[in-house]
Amino acid sequence: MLGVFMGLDFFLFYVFWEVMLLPMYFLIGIWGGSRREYAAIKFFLYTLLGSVLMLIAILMLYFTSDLRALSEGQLVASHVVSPGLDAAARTAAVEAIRSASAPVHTFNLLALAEIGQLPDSPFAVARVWGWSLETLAFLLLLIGFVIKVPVVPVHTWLPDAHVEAPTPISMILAGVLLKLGGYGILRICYPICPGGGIALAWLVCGLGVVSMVYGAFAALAQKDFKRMVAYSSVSHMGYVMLGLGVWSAVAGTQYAWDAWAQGVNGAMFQMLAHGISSAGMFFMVGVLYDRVHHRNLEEFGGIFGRMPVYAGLAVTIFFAGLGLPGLCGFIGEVLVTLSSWKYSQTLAVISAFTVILTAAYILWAIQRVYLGAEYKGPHGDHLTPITRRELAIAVPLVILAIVFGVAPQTIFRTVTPTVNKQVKTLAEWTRVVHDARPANRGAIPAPALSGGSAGRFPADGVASTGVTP
Amino acid sequence: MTGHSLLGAALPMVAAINWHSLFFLLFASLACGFALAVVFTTNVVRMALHLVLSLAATAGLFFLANAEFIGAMQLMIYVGGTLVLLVFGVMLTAQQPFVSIRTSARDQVLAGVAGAATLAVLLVAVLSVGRWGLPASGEVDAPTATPLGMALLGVRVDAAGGGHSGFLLPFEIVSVHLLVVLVGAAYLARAKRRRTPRPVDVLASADPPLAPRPAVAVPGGVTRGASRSALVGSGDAAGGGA
Amino acid sequence: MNLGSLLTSSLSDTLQVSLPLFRPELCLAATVVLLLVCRMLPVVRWLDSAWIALGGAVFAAAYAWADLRGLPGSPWLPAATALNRHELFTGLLVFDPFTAYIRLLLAGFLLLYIPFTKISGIPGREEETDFHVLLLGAVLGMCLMASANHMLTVFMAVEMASVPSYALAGFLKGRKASSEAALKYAVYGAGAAGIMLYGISLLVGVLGSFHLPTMAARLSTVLAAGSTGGVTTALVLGGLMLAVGLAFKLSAVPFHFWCPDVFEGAAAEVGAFLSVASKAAAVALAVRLGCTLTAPPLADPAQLAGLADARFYGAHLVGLLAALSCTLGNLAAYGQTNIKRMLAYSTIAHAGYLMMGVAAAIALGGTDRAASRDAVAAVAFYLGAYLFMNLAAFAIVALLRNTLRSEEIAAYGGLIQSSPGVVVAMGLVLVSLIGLPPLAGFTAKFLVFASVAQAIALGVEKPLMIVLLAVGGLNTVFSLVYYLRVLGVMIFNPPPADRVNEPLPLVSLPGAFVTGLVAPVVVLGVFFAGLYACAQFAGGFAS
Repeated sequence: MLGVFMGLDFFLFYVFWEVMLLPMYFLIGIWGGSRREYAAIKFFLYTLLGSVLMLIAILMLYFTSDLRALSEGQLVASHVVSPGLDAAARTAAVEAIRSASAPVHTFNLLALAEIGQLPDSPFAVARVWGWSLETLAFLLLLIGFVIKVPVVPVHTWLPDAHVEAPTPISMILAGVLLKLGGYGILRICYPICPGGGIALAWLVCGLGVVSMVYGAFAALAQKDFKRMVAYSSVSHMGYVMLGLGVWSAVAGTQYAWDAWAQGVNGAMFQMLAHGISSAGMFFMVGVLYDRVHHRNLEEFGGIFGRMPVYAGLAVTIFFAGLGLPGLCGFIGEVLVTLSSWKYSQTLAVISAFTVILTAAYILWAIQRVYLGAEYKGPHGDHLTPITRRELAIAVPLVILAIVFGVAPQTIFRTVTPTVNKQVKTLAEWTRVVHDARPANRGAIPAPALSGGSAGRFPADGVASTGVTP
Repeated sequence: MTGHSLLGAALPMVAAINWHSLFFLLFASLACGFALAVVFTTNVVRMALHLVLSLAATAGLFFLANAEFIGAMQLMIYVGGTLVLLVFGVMLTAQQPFVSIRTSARDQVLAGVAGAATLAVLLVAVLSVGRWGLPASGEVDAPTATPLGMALLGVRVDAAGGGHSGFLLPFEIVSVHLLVVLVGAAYLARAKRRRTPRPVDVLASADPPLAPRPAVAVPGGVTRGASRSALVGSGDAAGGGA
Repeated sequence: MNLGSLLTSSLSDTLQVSLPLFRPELCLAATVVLLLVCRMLPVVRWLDSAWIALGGAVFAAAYAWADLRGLPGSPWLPAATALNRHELFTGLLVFDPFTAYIRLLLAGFLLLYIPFTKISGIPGREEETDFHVLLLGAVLGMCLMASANHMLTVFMAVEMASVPSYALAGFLKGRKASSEAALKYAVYGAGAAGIMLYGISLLVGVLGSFHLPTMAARLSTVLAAGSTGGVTTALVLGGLMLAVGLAFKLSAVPFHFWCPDVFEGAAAEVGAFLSVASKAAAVALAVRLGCTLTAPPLADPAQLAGLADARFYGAHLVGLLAALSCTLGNLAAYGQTNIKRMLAYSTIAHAGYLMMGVAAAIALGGTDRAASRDAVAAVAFYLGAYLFMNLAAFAIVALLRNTLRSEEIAAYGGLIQSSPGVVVAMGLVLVSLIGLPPLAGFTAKFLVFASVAQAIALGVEKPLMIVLLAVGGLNTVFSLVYYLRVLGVMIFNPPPADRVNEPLPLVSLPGAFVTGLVAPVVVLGVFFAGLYACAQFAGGFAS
């Protein structure tokens, strides 16, 4: 997993991405519940389908890429030519690339991004069945990533995998694995295929909102405690998608990139927050399951009386998942909802209303499990207070949930510079490159183009704009 | 019309007959007819006989095409060698259920349709070729077997210009191939004489052997004689008979 | 030119050019004779024929290795100035990097295969001479398939490889399934050979030559002269019938019916031989015919342009077979309960992936020789990786049969408890067959898909290549289920009640052998550069 987050080479990224699958299969398949094999293979199948589509996109991008189109500065910046070389060696290396007779293909993610944002990007020029390559590649990569996220049409592996997996594996799945999808979309889809990103922004946002609403309704309907938490994951990750997708820096908004940056920052935050709250919720379910060996929501009740410390921690975590102000779930959701207003007011309204649904299923679950007169289900005598070992896991999660909720700057301090830089670059790209293309000029009334040259934005390290709630 | 005038008219007609075409038609219809007979006969021995006749007629076609060597080879190898062997094999091994072969009506219809369709396609294709890529003149008039023999040794005296392959390699390599195939045939024909069980013999799903004959019960006649005369059979036949 | 000088030139050509480059095959032929002679002489009869065969294979592999290394432009020598291409025996065979590579692959296969059969116990002591004679005879034919340059050699080599295989399929005498398998294989094989021969005669009849490059040159002229309906029909039909013969050898759908039955009936050892060596040779022949007939070496641009229709036809024919084999092979593998049957369908599917590479190589031949070279290199690399993967899979099946007395997948339940090492080995092999990184199967599949994607990027036969890429990708996903099911049974299921628990530890001769086969599967997944350099060198046989 670390390899996926660190890989800057597309091929290596793919290898790590796949290597992650097999251990997960065995973790679920060996230590899972009664239908573990089914769940494990379903998880594997879905993700492999996604990664094969991704592989196809990678290959198509690789063979269309051409390093010769890049300037010396870009080659050095993307580490195709090592910046460690002295000037003469560097010039020679650049010259060797630029004077090659055949196209020089690359897997380097940074270089691919530079190529993708060129005015005459080969990805935008190449056509496959009438689609531009960047739109198609964006779509394929998007499918590969959203299966991991997961969003609604391809989410069905998630409840099965979560329900069958043992608690620690559920926590890993919710805490880390799902974030790979969001990371991939942000890191790979948008920079390399920005044209596809603009063309398909409606799809990304739409998927986000659909899974938000669907996940919430599905969570409402669940009888199984863990399944409910799993569907809440689907719903929460919908916010991430919406936040990533709001490409609002278009001509109509004078290329104001702050709203979009706000959305992306919110999505990043939501991913982290969800990693804490969702992992915590799974852990809380696991604690109960260890004692009474069932997860039927109807048969709980009165846990507050039997295990007061545990119930207090659990309710805090569930509130964090709900998005109560002051806890970590709130920040991401509010940023995303606010930012989507600029993109589409309908979507913003829907996503705001989803919060009510979220509150409904979480509060209802809390009421059924923790409140109530007394415990009704089997194995009631096993409901012993929380152990020290379990506390050692639960307390840090709760503390993090509160800390991130009260002082979100701890995260934004690291996240925002990178995000803002990318968003700004892409917003600038929209103005200078995308809207200048003849194919797009007719569709959107072009504003004054005289303001900027084709140069890059100066690097901006300060993180302040539009992200403080 | 008088007899004289009839004769007078017939003579030029006889002279005008293209004997080459006549013989071609004769041999071709013989070959096809007997080939059909092979298909439609149910008795194995008769099938073999019809096959002999069909192949002999094919040899006649080769003679007509000035390919005396191939024609002779066809007669010697197929008619003289392979088929005689086949007939012997059939006569020696034929057991009651295998003497006559009957196919179900469904299979016959299926085979007929498939065969007719293939034939139609091939006929259309072959007849529609206007000009075949014939070898350049000078290569075809090879009336004696000498050039062929030389070609088999790798020297093409008939096409000295080069660019034409000699056949030394196939000539030699086929002998190795025949040796290998002979060994394989001898192995398959040899009666089973097994002293130590193979791992696969104890397979749970192993089916009953096709011919459960223990080593001692090998009929002393043809099968064992054949295996003894075969190259590899001679080695351990002594141990197997006891 | 008189007869004497003709003889002299022929003699010197044969002795000084052809025979030295024909040494691996000569070794095999000599070993066949030696095996039989040793069996007859009382003095050396005690000698185990496996060692004689292995000795011959070592010599053949050493010569093949020396031939590959010694060619200019190989990964060990400086680049070649001229095309590496020697016609042997007056044009019947061709010796080039591709020949050398495939020959090395086949000889290397023998080096692994003979110890494997020795360990697994089939053939038994009484029949091993016959087995090894048939084996070496078949491999000899396969070497010729890889180097054929003449339609006569093509047909002869296919027959030389097939006929001993029929006997090998029926090697378990006394088992009904085995005899049935042999008969079925032989009947189908004879039919396919007949069709192929008819196809060859149509092609040769229209083009007036047996020599492949000459045929390509005339084909270019005929096609450039414009379409006279009849000639085109005959060419199309001839190509189709030639492809039928090849598809049979490749067990490509729809000529695959023999494959599962033969694999189930014959011993697992024979299955390993048919699925690895036979397939490698058939793919090599497909590459050779496809590339030489549609983009011959040293063709001038006019000639290449004239062959555009041939490339279109060849790529679509092979591509269609590839897509069909891949999909049907994978789908049919789902329902199998016998591991050998399942592996049979898996080899059909892998034939499909291999043919995708061949289709890309044919399609790219006229546009971009370097890209075509990479496509052939991908296929050659795939064959190298496949050698280890599939041989290991069949070796494990054979060894498990010896301890478990069963070849049903259900009998593998709970193996993780008694022989964890073998389960790990089998797991690696199966995952590599799916094509997941970081194993050799992934690298191979990636290279093949990459060459198809390159064809798309270059705009060559774009619709076909897009379909192939999509079909290949989806099939990789399909195949996951049935490969993982075997693994799942081994790990998750309880052992069957009637299990005689004989563990198969890795620290034993069979275990060590399996480890030795699986190690390259892992190593080639990470350190693939060496083999890929050889494969790329081999792929450059036409440019």
